[in-house]
Amino acid sequence: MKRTGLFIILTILVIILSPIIFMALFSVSENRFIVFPVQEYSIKWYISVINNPVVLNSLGYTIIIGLIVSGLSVCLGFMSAYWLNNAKGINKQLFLALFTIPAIVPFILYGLGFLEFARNLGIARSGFAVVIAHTVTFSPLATVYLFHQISRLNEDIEFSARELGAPNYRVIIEIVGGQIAKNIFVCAIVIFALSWDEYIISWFVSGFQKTYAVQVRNMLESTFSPEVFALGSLIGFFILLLVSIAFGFSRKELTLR
Amino acid sequence: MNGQSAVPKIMGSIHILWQSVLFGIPLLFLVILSFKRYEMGLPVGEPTLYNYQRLFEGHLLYISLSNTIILGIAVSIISTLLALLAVIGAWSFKRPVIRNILLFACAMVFFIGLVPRSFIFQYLLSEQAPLSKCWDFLGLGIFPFQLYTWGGLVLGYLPVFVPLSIIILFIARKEISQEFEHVAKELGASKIKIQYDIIIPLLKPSISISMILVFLLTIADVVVIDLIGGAKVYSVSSLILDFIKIDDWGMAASASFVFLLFILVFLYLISFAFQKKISL
Repeated sequence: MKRTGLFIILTILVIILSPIIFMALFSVSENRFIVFPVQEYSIKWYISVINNPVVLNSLGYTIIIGLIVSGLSVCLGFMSAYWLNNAKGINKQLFLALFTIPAIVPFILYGLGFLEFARNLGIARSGFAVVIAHTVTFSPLATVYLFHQISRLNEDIEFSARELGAPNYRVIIEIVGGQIAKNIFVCAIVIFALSWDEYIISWFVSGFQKTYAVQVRNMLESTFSPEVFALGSLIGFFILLLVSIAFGFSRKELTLR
Repeated sequence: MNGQSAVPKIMGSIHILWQSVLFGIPLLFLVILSFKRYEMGLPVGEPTLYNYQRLFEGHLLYISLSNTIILGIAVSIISTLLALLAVIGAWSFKRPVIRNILLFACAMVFFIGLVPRSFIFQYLLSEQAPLSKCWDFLGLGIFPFQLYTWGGLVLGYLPVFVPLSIIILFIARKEISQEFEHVAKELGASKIKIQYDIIIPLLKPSISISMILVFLLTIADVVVIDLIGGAKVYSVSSLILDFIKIDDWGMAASASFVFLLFILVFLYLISFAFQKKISL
């Protein structure tokens, strides 16, 4: 059983990780074209991508968008999760299902509708439009996740704080928010990563300033360069760092519980 | 007390209002757009059913819709099955190291750029890639997972969705008490019987969630289908994108609206099936 288990896990890890391993491998190839096995190794594509202002601009732009989207989504998600947890006389599961619809509807449909909406408002082809569209699609995930976290909390603590005269904002921010602060942080990281990698909505509504995913696709479609692999590997390392931090926090949280 | 209960209501209302306006109105715009006829990238004439007539008269919608459904079903079944095997395999070890490595790899992979990963997979499925050469070397005939084939496309989706399925099943497996296994072992059940008769039935809700989610994400995808499926496996997303590329926004919107209705009907049927099962 153990041997079979190990074989299955290794096979699945190979399927999952092979694109990333090959991406890292081709990123250090001297050759401009994809050749396997790699003949000569070089870090010139890393240097090239670091010195590419278009790529750096798109990275900075995507980071800013990701940060705003994750912040906004977590705030909105927390607010609706807190309301759902405290609401009485409503079908909570139904509301939760309704909240998740924007995350389920294919992004290409929403992107197309949102582009028309944004054109009429005069905000199409802007970072503002990307932020709004991403927040609409990813904030439901924050609602669902934070609702489950809040519903697990001991209500007596909140009640005691109120009895002791704590104002509403302190109860909500310090007592409820404080207890799930690490979950909020993990949620923000996940939403940041989703916003970072989202392609189709950004393709519809971002203007001349392109997000990372759109920029990479453009680079692949126009003049192919292994810079894309170097960039992908660098991003992979960055996301690895983020996920590690998120993992560290959630594990610490579990240990404390 | 009234003041206290009003605060959560206000908080919830803000998000509901945000979603209703910024999600509801764009979808309304999509519907309105679907009744506009476009020529040379510009809207012409009064609102009309012309786009829908063209869409239903042609065969592209039916082909793309059936391709999308077949692809979605195939990817969701294979991804969930592989994930289930991986989770069962990971739990066959007493120490949690293997489980943590698997979960960590899945979580990490899921967030690494989909576009460059799919592009690399496009290369891995090409004729010059080591995978195809190994197949040739072993004399196994034509490589069944070549680029721009059904086999290649399904394989191309696996690195994208298997991690998601693993994460879903992993969380569910963690919730199952060890006592079930201990009791079954005490009663003399074999390891395979424990998995088949105890663990898998307990994982059924999560297996369903995984399959539905992977199905929805597969049918909505535009990146992998474009890079690995090419023109041979034509999905609804490809159809919509093709209309957009020729600036026929009305046709793109009408195809989108039909697709949206299909998804809503699918979700309704799924929830109906779930409710029926619960009541049974």
